[in-house]
Amino acid sequence: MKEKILKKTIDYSRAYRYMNMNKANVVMVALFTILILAIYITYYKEISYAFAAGAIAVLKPVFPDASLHLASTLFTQGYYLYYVDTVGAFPSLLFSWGNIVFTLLFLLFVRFIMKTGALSVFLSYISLIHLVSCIFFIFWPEYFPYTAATFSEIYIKQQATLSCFVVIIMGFAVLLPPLHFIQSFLALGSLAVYSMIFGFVRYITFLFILYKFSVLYMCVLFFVLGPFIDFLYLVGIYSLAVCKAAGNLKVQREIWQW
Amino acid sequence: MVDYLVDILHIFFIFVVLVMLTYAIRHFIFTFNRLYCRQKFYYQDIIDSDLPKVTVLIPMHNEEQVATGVLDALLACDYPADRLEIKPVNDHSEDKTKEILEAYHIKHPNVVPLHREKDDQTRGKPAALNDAMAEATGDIIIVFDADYLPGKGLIKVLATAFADPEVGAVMGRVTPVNTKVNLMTRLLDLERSGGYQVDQQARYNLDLLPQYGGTVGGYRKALLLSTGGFNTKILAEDTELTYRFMTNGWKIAYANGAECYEEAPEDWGVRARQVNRWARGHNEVMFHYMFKLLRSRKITFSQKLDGFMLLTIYMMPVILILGIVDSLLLFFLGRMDIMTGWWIILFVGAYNTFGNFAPFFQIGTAVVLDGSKDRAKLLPYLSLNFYFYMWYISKGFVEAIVDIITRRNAEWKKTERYRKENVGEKL
Repeated sequence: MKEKILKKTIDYSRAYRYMNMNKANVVMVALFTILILAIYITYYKEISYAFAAGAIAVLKPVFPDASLHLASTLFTQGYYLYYVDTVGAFPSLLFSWGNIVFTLLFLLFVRFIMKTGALSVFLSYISLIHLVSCIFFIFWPEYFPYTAATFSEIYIKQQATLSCFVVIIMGFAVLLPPLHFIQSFLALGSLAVYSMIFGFVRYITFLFILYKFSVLYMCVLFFVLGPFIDFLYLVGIYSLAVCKAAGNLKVQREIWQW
Repeated sequence: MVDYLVDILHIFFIFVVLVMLTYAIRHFIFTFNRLYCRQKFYYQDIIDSDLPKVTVLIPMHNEEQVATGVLDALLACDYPADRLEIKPVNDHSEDKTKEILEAYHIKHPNVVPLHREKDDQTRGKPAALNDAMAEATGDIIIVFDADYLPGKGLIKVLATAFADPEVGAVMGRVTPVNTKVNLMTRLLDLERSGGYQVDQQARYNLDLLPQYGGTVGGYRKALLLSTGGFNTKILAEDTELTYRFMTNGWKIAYANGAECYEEAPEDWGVRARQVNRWARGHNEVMFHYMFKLLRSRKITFSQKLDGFMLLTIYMMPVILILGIVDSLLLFFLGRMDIMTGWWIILFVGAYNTFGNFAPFFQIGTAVVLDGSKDRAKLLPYLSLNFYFYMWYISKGFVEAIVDIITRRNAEWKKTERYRKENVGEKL
């Protein structure tokens, strides 16, 4: 065991090293973050228009008979956003019961057949959320407060704030590792672009599921495939940036202070 | 009526968001401090010819797979043999642990095992440590779990801290030795980096509350015995010691350079039980020490604040679950309006809890400080832990409440070992 631990080279101690902050880099990253936010705020109406028009263009050939219209909604004072006004399939009682039976069987499978692990807990979480939705649709379907159109409207509003928040969080995160400001720009820029593309693809997928299958799945879509997934690609891009920073430090050893 | 309910749900939702943001800010401050501020050095440069008498305690329950590893490593230490007592505590083992310990005792007189074999004895690590301390000859107690592999100079480094009369306990850095086994061990390696390289060192830098972790650490025997020894009803005896010492004005030193290898769990089931036990024990300590901490006059305001946030950290997954239930209710009540903008922040909590409460930027910074490059690519996989930890930590919280209400004795379940050693050959 001990032989496995022995190292070929002993580097300087990593225990107490630190570095001096490159203040110019920090200012540049802060300015770039503000610039992206300013672009979002200024042009989000146009971005939402692109989202909605694009979604109609994609979904219209798939559902020629569907009612897909462009609509606008007030986001904050004097600030309007576009969304797709559409309809969703309301579940029948039989459909809801079918879902509940399937979900319960799936929960039993996860509990008794699958090994304890991250996946089994995640699948249980999804199943429980869906179970709540099924129960609601069985006992109080008339009280379900959303249509596919209201969900679509809320999605666009959520996407607007989400796009800003992921950029702010990434802005703070890339302030920390010793990156060249161009590398920080790349991380922030690619996050902003990815967030837009992912948000658009997810929008189309949600509308497709609500129209083709049922609004019964609205809850699980919102709670499982929402911001949690956005954080996933945020951390993915951040991890590549950190990798780059660690690589930089392999050659710039003079940065370290003790 | 519904309006009142919605108001309450909205208020709770905002509360959850604020709590999660507070923790995110706390960890950002720690990360910034660790990376960009001058570090507080440990006592490793002190050369003391008058080293204290040390007793190393190693609690063992069915440890035949790993017992020889830790004993060999300790026997190879450079601490003067006449000032070092090695006391493995065989706690009702049913395998060959006893035989291994006796074989070492015959060959090495300073290995003095204690066998706990009576059926009516309280089992578990705190009780085993109490019994061992009653027999220990050292003034300083240093504890290692049986799967640890201390380096040659580690005992000396840890013991040096006690030259400072204000130090009550000391903690070293834990590093997994079996990192490359599977994805889970790699993720645990990342967690440990974030927790020790950044969190513990930053808390030490800022004169806050570095935590004694129950292994790769030590404390003054007289101090602990004068306050009644370990509470055998609490599973997290390490956290309990931290708060007991801290509220009485003693310092906990952190030695970031005192690295020691451990065997990390290789299986999700084992990890689930470990996290569940930590959460249960930590929350038991929270119920016992919350008011003592807030009332203590021997610590500063910032230490109180850090102590409070550390004490409540294993409540965060519970608050997050309640936050999700709250959001579900708002969803079905048709009041998602507040969530369109703020729902996202709830998930800041998700990344606070990733890596056992180390957010992604903290772990990323630890990777940079450790000088490893490719490990960073694993950061997104920490998301696997989110719901897993949320569930098992919340379960531990509920069990802690039941422990407090019913005053039952929590049963200690040790973490399984994976090392393959030929026990027969060692004997």
